[in-house]
Amino acid sequence: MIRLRASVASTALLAVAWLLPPATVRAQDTQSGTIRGKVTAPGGIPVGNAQVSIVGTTIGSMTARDGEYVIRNAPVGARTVRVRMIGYAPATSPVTVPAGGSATLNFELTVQAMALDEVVVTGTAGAARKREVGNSIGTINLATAPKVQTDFGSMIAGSLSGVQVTGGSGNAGAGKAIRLRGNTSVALSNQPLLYIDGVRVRSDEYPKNLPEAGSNLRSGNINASPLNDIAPDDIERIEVVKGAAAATLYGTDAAAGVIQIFTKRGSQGAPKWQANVTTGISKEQKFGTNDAKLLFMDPFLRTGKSMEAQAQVSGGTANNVRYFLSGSSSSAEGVLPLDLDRKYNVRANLDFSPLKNVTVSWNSSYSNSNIANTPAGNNAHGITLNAFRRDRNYFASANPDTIRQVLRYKLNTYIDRSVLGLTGTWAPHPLFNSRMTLGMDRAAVENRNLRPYGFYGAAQGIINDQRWENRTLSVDWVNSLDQNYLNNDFHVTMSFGTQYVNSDVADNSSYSENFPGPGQPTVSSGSLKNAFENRQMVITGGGFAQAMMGYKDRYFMTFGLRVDGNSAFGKNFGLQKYPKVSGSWVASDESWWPARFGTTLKLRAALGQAGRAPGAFDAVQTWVPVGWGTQPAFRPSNLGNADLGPERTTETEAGFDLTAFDNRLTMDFTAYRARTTDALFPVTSVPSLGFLNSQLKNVGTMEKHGLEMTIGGTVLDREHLGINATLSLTTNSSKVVSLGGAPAFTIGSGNAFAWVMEGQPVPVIRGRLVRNKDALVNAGSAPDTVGNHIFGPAAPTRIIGGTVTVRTWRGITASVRGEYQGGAYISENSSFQALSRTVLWPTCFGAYDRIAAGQQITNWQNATCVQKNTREDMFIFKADFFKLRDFTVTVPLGKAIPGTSSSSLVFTAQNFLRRNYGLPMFDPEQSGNDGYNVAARYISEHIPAPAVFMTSLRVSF
Amino acid sequence: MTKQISLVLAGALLTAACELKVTNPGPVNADFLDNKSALPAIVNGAGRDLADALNWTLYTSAAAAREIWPAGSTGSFGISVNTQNGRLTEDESGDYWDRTQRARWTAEHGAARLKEVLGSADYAKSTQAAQILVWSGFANRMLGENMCTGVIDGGAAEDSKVYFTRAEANFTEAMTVASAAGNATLVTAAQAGRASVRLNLNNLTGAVADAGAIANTFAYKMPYYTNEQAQYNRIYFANANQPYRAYTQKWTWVEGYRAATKDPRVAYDSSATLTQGDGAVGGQPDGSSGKVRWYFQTKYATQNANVNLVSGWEMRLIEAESKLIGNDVAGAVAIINTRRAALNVPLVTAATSADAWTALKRERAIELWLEARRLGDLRRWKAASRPGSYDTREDLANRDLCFPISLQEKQSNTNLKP
Repeated sequence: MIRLRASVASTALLAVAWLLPPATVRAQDTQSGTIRGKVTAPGGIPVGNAQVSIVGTTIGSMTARDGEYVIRNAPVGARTVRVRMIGYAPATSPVTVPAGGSATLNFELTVQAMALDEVVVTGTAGAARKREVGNSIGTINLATAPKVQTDFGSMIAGSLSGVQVTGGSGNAGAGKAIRLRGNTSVALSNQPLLYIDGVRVRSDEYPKNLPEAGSNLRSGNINASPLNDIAPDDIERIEVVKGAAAATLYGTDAAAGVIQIFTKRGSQGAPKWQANVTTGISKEQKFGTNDAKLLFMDPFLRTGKSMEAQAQVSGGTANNVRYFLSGSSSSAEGVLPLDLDRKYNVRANLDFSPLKNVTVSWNSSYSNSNIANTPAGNNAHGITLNAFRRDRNYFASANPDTIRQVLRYKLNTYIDRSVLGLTGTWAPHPLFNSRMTLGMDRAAVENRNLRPYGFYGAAQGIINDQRWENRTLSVDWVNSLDQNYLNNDFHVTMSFGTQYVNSDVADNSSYSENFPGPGQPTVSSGSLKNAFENRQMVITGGGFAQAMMGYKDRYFMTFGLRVDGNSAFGKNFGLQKYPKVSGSWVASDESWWPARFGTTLKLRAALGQAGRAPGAFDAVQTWVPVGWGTQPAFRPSNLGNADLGPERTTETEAGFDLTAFDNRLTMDFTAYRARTTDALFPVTSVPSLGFLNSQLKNVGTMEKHGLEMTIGGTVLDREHLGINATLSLTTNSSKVVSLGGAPAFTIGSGNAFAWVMEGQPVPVIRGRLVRNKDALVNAGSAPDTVGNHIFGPAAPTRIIGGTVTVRTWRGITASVRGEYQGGAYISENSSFQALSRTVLWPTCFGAYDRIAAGQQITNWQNATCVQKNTREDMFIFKADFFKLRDFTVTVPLGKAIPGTSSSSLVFTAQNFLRRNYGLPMFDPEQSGNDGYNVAARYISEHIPAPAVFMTSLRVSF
Repeated sequence: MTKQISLVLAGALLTAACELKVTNPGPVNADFLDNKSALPAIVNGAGRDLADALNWTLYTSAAAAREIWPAGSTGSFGISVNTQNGRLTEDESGDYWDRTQRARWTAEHGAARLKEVLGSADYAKSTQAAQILVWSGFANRMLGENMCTGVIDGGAAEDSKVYFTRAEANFTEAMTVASAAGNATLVTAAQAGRASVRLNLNNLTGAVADAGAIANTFAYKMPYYTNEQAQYNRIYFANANQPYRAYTQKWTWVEGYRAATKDPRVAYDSSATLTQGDGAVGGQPDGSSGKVRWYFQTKYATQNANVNLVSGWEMRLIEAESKLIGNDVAGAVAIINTRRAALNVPLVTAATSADAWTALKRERAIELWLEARRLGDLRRWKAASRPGSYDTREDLANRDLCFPISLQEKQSNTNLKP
């Protein structure tokens, strides 16, 4: 079935693409010729997806996976051909095109981690060369990413310093959180803003599949992610601006940084086809103790099988229409018995010039996901909770066949996602251009949650169906005017523009229970029905102006101002202004710079502000209609705050980008310090004044600072052996400077024990310290503990990542990527849930033996293994760990497969080795019941993400 | 060129001037409630808040008072390890303190809003006003009986008797307004409620006078509904095997008493197929640690089982307690036995005042079983050093008899800060 689905989708894509006008393959005339060749990296490794073009024309092509390209209809005579590929230095070479004939032109690119003339657009008000930009912009070089991408989160994990990807679980479809320079806000989402080809799209998680009435834990207790809707193979490059200094022009909402994804586009030339077929398995690794490696989940876990097929075609027609089309289909079983994630994606990107001086880019993508989950997490109707708790579970039985009754629970999530973007660029004058992007992102989720008739613990059955939709409309208009003075030594680019973002969420749930009998019920089947609706619209609108000045193409200064309004601001709050200033100096362009080491150096510094807006209802005092029986009823809800505004983050960063030894060594370094003022804190309400919900107030001040450094180098570069290595280091320390008179408060779930307290990290884990852990005491005696102990930050303070790639005979490469994270603490709630119910728990097996033998046990065992002594806030551990993120072997097959121009075979193993330094069980990165994007995670009754092993065959033709 | 740029600039400014005002549906602006048409929903909201507070306080106070024994669950519908050990701590008091304070606030301030919107004259004869005053009275009584400390509207800490004083005023006003509105049920409910708070204020004369006006069969109940789980009777649902079997009557005084007397007021049952609770606990009276035999109460047998706020039979026990305080042992026992005889359960005997107090304490435990009243009784008798004893299974050493001020109140209420 899996194979069939993948095959059908691929065939459909091929059929559609085949209908394209074959304008580029018409017979050559005598006024044109053909240029063909191959683009390789050092060691002869083919470089696919490189842009090859004839300078001064719009004619060009892209290289196939084997690095080969063909440019047909090239004008005859002497021409210059340019090759561009991110991560490599641009290359140009002359060629003479014979009339009606063919010229061969090969390129060997050199790796260039820091390309000063590479154009970036994120946070820069239009396009800018990297040399002009005073802040760090991370560009993810797909050449160094793992060759088989499972999802967007895995793709960027460990790829850039300052980027942390956490979360994930053993459940199919679970998303991951992205943090840029740690947490910026305690009350609002810390997920960065996300743009795809200039269109603002949703980055926060999708709603969890749960019943609207009753326990909100009746679920798989995971959140799907909009980031998983993006087909990794469609992505050409990713730009990341990590903080307020770089994201100022995005204004309100940008304080947590911005990620912009650029998908592939077509270029002039014949269609280039690429196709992949990937198969794999996922398997849960040990997360318990040696006595119970899978924490009693063994009877329920399986080896998940996966299959993916993907095909894409790109090219350009003679009338200057360029296209990129892709489609993919995948099906991945999870390790839990009901888990299945089926997905298909299609994308069509077109570029054309309908008028003189006008270019239009059309981007469209659609993805459809069908995720089935097993009930899990801290769910009394779930499999993990009942397996972990053994015979003290809700069945009072550890019999696997008894526990399997929960598998009648059906959890299905259907996601429809469409992103449309239309960008028009008008350049009426060489020094002026105006660009407008209209965007629409529609994410529609159906969560269907069914406990059928006869289900254990809900004998009459319960169903909930949620239809949730988030539509984001965006307009982005940017205008740039260039002026040159002093014989072109002094250059000024004035930019101004306006943005509008309208995010509208419509959320309807219908719920019913008490079905009349067996069968396939709908919500109409239940005798007791409830309906729920939430609607929230938030509008942000603003404009900006920026001036970038450059002198002698090596001294640059940029000044900018963003002004924003937001519908969620309090009525006493007006427009907000966010200024920025930055500068860069390409020191290596100075005449006095020594050239002997082949060194380039750019120094940079930036200062800027960005904000984060409150939620739709936070500013207004509201009462919520709750009903009472069949009667109407009001209950106090939100206290309201007419002075509510955005929190404001001011960030300073400085650093340098360095290459040496002719690009054999690269290094970038950034130090940053950010201060958030008017920080939105959920100030605890006074219960005796009726309103129990916390009220957001702009009262806090927070700081964070850190270092980011990446060093990459070519260790060895021989014909049949090359070794490249990259090491990245990230530090991040945060502190609550002031609570503004508000009391300390917790964030996230109470089970996380994450506090926001003056003078402590944001947030800090506070709980009960068991002292003298190893001292021997009598079982059942009062344990030696102290409450309200400050353990440490919830977020890691140091991350060290490394990649080593070895190129061997015939271009076979092996790469390994690892990451260490340290400094964080985490609450492990699963053990408490079990031990507080006297479940015979693996971490206590030794203690049970000693108690049975009448021997003393340690104070730690006494505190945690003797039920009357257990407290929920005791189970706090260091969350340090090391993981091998992936190990990949790529075997080029050349033309070994008949009919193809090239092919390769890729083997990848991901997430297969982890070592904890503190946490005795589980994975410190796994999500809890509250999803991946919560301010502070904790370990709940989930299983960690499994190891994944995949093989991919990739062909070009 | 200049013209083109000017056009673009004008367009940009126009776009930037987009309307940003959004009114989202759903939650209601507080200003909208000052409207006659909104008053029924305000009164019902106060009722729902009280039902909610009673739901939570009833369950955990029952665990602390050993009206029920934990059967394993510690989260969701469970009993925390602290409460299993008889400790009621500030960090676990939020669900009880906060909800009950909200119930008081919404009722008291709802009454004030009614007076403002209706005007004094209409308010004085409004059934809605009488109803919300009754809710106010019972919310204050629940605070007085279950909370250690008095705090009103973000004020300073004071004696918890302040709640009873306010409840007495609420009930008194409710009687007047309900009488003017012609609502006899509310008049009786308010008077019965006032009798119960007067007992706590040691105004025995007033309590007995009010109690005497209430018929045996009268009962004023807090309704629960099947609409959604949040409106279910929580103590039923926590033990309804849906899927929670969070507590049991095993190891409680009820186990032996019910078996011996078949008293229908403390009914419980067992299952042949589901014999144990949904977890396990340590420190059981026989020294064991592990799964517990599951005996489930049947006083509340449905999701929408109502809970007595006050009843005529409680009034009789107020009269009996008054007699005992006056040392009229025979009179007290006679009242107790009136009810027992009607139920055909063994009558009590008392040779001494202490015996009679023991009987009265037991009888209130039976009559008001699982109604969020036991901690208040235990605290009142302890404060007054009343004689008599308790069943050994109820008499937990070092037990807390009231909920402390919640952590949220302590942290947010500036008048409580040292």
